[in-house]
Amino acid sequence: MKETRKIEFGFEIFRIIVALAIAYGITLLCIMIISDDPFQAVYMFAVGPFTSIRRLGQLFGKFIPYLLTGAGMCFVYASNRFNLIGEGVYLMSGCLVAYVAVQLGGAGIPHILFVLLLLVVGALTGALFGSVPALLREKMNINETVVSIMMNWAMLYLATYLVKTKMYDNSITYMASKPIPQEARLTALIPRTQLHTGIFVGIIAVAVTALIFYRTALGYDIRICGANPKFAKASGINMTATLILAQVMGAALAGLGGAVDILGIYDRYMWTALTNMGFDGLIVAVLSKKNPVFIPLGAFLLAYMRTGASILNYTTEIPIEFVDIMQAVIILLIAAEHFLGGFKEKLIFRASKEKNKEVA
Amino acid sequence: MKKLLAILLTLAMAASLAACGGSGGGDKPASGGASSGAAAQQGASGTADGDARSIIYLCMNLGDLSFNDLGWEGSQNAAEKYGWSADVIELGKDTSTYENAFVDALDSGKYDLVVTQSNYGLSDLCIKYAPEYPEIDFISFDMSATADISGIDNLFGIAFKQNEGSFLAGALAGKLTKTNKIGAFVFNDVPVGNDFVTGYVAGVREANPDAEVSIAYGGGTADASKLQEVSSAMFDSGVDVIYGISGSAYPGLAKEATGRGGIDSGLWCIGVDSDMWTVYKASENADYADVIVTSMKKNVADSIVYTIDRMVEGSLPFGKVEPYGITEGGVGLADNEYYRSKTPADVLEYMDSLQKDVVDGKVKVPSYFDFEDYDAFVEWRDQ
Repeated sequence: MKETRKIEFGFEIFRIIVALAIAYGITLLCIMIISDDPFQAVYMFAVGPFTSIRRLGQLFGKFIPYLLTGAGMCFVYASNRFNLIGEGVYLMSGCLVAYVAVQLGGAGIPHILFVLLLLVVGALTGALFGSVPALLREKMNINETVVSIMMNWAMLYLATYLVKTKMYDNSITYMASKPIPQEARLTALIPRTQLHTGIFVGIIAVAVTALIFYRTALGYDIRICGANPKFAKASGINMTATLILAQVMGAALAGLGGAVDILGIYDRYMWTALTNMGFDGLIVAVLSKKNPVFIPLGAFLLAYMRTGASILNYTTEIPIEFVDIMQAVIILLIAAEHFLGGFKEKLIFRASKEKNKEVA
Repeated sequence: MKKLLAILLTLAMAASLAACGGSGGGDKPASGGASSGAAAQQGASGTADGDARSIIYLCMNLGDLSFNDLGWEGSQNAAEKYGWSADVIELGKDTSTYENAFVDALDSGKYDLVVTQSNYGLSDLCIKYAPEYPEIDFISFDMSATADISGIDNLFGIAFKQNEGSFLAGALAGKLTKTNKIGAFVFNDVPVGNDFVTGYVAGVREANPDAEVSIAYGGGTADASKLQEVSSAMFDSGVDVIYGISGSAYPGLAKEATGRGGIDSGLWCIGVDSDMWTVYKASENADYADVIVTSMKKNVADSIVYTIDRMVEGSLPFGKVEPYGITEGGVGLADNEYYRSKTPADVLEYMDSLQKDVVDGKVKVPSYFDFEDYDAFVEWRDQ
């Protein structure tokens, strides 16, 4: 048994490396075909994020919210619910946090208290909106995917409405809130980069998620409910409560992600389209195989890829649409669960065969 | 075997995508190339002050046939005129990366003149970074005239008085209508869109206080079929003049009006951004042109060239957002032969004198940016 687990673990790492190698191979091949200066393009895509402090900062600017949305979607994904509410609450809590920050700005609240208050607002917004699809699913058996996707659009338009009617700023021509007051913003750890103090919030959230998952009864219940609902029911776990709690906590973390992102990177709230950060959080959760310990790795990988693509876009002539396609190829290969699956089974089979021989 | 096949298929798919991407890449106005070629030729006859500059134009995405493209056209035209080089960076949809791309371009040392729109925080970035890069000049267009950038002596803002041009469009609509019902379609419920509406509604009230204006909003996407649906409903309800404030969705309106007999049946359309009658006449949709009596031009490209002209002359007042109205050629009705031939003589006379009054400041055109808040605007619009 122990043997199997060891093989599985080693194999997982091997699999990700192979998938990455193939995906990058395809990507690089494509760059070679379409670019006039393929070496520059390849260099920017692969090494670009590490060529200056600011670019590394841009990577962290993505990494920080990914930690939070990744941890959030881990809760949802581990409970085997396909609830996509993270996408909408990310935006909604960004909007409400910006609103509260603008309203309370200049009231003389100390920086730390102000930020903590805003983070609480973000998490509560997430929990509040996230509870709707969770309750509908567990109490009335309404498909959570449909509800959450519809709610994402509803929240987008609600946020847009709030910006338009409640945060009007006549010194700009596009739709955005008034500037977020300086004392509400998360300070940059390295000046002029996007590496801000939100990273501590992210790390704490991941650590707490890992503790809940592997050191508490609740985490055990969530994992069992997700992995084997019949067994969970037979062992007397309160499934309804557990699953609602898991989805609400996931949404709260996603809301926290939106709050941290708005306070860390943006001057104003200006999301008038879905941000994709919630869906990216799901990718992080998939990459880390529902294991919160791996979230920093998955988040870093995705942030690295997104940043490389962005730098590729603004330093070379490769069109942005193509950059998006390349990212999709990479994510597809890494996320494919059964990629090389046969090989893993063979390894496990051989190992157990040998063990049987030894025993005999 | 199956797996090998799958991998081969993936590769084939990727390769075909690459091919598509390749041709797409070809369309993208590549940096320098053409313009710097022209540069070499024109350098000799060049400018009074000789030294070549290098423009970087930042926008969300090219290919909208409207705002983004016009800014790039203006930057290229100016570069060609003075023998400079011009580059473009398309920032894409992810606004969190804008600041890095912006600062990266400034730090690259390749550019000494930044041209941007104001959208998605780009004007904020100009305000934030201009003081740190005194050797670079910044021009941000479509800013709000109420923005305060005084003291930043390497940033110039262009505000378009779309309300002024739309005021004339509204007055024309008020004079042309027989049913006293007038319509407008706006691409999205955003401040700039509502500035168009403010001018238009005020124009209608000025010329024809009895007329009633109905306004429909789009969702911000280039959706021609939606505009066609909206205009169909408006025409059905008796509206006979429609102002389509959406360049990319405009074919929907033109198609519907053409199908109903156009101007000969008493249905008029007013175009936006460019001189649409001329543009459509030259396109494959030439038969759509005849419903467009005139257009409210928002001359982004010409205004950028005009601004750079003033910069070269040394007369550009940096540290200021300047409204470009009818006088500056920033906005205005397209005064083409079709407009002159189709509009009744007394209306033409009225329009000419009204335009003069607006230019002279005798008639004050309200602006969306003057309203206290959104609710105040809605109340005024619907009164």
